[in-house]
Amino acid sequence: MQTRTAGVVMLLALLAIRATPAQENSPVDMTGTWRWINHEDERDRNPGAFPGDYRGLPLNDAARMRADTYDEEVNSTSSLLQCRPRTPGYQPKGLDPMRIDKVIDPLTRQLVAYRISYEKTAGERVIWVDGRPSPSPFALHSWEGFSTGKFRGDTLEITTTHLKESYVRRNGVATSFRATVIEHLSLEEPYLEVTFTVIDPDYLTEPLVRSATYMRAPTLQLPPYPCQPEDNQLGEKYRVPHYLPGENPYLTESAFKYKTPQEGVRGGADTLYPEWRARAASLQPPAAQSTIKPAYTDASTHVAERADAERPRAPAYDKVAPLHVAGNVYLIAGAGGNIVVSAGGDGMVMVDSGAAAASDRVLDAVRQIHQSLRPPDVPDAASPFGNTWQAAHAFAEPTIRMIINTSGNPDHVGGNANIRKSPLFRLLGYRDPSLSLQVLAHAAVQARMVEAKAPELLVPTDTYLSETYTLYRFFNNQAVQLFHMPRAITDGDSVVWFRRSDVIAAGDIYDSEIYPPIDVDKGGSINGEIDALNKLIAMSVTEFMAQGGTMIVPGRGWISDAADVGNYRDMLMIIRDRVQAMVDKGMTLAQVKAAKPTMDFDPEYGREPGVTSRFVEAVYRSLKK
Amino acid sequence: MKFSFLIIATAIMLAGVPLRAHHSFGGTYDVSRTITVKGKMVQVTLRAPHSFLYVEVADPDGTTRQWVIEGATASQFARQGIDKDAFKIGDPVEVVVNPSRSPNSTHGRLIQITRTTDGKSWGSKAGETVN
Repeated sequence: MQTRTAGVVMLLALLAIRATPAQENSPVDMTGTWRWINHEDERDRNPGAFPGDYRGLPLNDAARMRADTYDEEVNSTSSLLQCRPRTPGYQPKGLDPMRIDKVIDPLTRQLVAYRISYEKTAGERVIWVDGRPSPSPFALHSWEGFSTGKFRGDTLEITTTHLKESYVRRNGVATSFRATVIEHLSLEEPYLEVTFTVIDPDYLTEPLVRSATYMRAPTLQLPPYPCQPEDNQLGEKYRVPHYLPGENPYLTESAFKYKTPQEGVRGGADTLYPEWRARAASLQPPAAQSTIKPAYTDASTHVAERADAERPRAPAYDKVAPLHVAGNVYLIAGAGGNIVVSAGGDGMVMVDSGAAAASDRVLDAVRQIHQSLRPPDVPDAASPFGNTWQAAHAFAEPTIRMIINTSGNPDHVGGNANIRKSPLFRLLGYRDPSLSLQVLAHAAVQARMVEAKAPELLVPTDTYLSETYTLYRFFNNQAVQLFHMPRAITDGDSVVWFRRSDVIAAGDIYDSEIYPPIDVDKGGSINGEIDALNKLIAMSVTEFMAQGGTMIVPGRGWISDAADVGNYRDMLMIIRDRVQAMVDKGMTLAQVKAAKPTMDFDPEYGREPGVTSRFVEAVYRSLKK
Repeated sequence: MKFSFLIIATAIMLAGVPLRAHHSFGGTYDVSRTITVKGKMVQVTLRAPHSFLYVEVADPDGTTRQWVIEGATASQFARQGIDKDAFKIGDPVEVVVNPSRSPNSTHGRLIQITRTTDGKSWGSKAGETVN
């Protein structure tokens, strides 16, 4: 009888469990704390990846060259790298325990997102499962990226984009900011299996698939991780430790120590398949450690030539769109050069005006920004004018008060005339427009445009000659300051800092996806460009763990922070040093170009026709002077 | 029996060895070599991800060089009794380090540090070197 009763109770319990509906978008519960199990890649953790060891990685020759010339000491010398969190393309190999939580919609009780925290991430990584679209291609990239998830059966598939440039192994094997990471999380209690795949069009020839295992650890707590970067190059000018191509003495160390053939240690997709074993059996490990001069020949080393061979495409401006940056500052992207707008009760100040052919769409974007504005806030700073000033200038219709030009590049000044002729352009200041600020730039920009006989309405009307220039009054509750960056792209570059929003419009001194368009004939130089980037980094503060904080809008490309600019600066310093070594050897420009000193960075920054060739020439000429 | 105990004890000790490097120590430093740096402590920054000790070394010609020596994270040091007062600015020290692989670098990975005035040291016990 007792047995029968127990059986009935158990059956009812099972039915009750069965009758409880699972969340539609969350068939299994992965929440909890998880400990990483270090049963794979022990050598990779301790003592760490040796230089030149690319086993198991389907990398291309551009990635090899980049890693061959990499010096791990940069992680100690660069304060922007010391606290960088791992991206999902490496994190599961990074020993951190993790915690997974759910974000539940309070009304529908459905899962909106998973939050994944690792010991050494800046915040919580959010995996959206509510079907939201991907952010704009011009949105900020982060170490965690933008992740969406969906269940395939009981497996959670996570797709992550908008990543910062990072690595797949701690010896300089890079991943591009164009990489996508796809993770599959499968629950096999008490284990969580994570398979993670890196798809990188710039540095991998096929997807890199790896896995890691976590074990439930209900009592585990993530300790605080107050990562605090430090500039430890006391008294020195910032430098990037790296090896010139062919000079790294450590590239055979791993093969020699582990007695494996050097050909396999160099990695590549063909070493990942079973057929490789037969070939490897006939190869010998190196008899001694030595410096080698690898040859780089695969398709990834011809990115620039392929870009040059493409037929020039007519610029298209059909995707001009506004994007909020921070505070009251917006980006209008897709109009040639990026346009940065501060919008509020005082109207709009516009940094650069885009290409002339994009002006109609730019004005549409201005109207969109205007429609999205809220009534003016009462300023939270002590201001004797704040309330009345805001009330007096409450906006009724979109109003552009002035244009600031960061340079004379046609993609930045091309729209000046159309904007000035637009009914939206209503000046702030005197009734006589000729007395009011209209188009402001460094004096060198005006001088060069006048010299080039540019149409009058394109030419800046107001100029400054000093190192910095501050607008005579707060604009939309914040100071607006211009900083002259001498001898960078040209002799007239400015960056514009919106101080309360903490957004810097960088102009062409920083283009997140292409080499800088240094124009030596107009006073630009590679060392001036590096100085400008160092200044930009010094003006910026990251929020925590090398990301966020001051937003930097490039002349072209996506919204960035100081870590992105740091990567870009380091890339330029490495190329500068390589070209300098060639100049010191007496090589001609043709010889330098033939030696391809930018080859390992071309997949990221050399994908537009003519860009790489012009950049190498500019670096050579500015160092040859 | 003694051998088994030794293995278990070693395993327990190693389990406590933090493996939290944000970068590859094996890639940054030549872990097969050690050198001794003798000089004066000029700065101590205990922090995450790694702490840095700055030691000024006087060369025979009268010039000075600064060595930047990377060690454990602040919490790891704290667990082993090393805090801000353990080594002070001006202390004469001898530091055993794995030298940087980078040419002409004066960076090193901390293996052992000894204050020469009283023999106070860190790094001689198992588990104190951080990977």
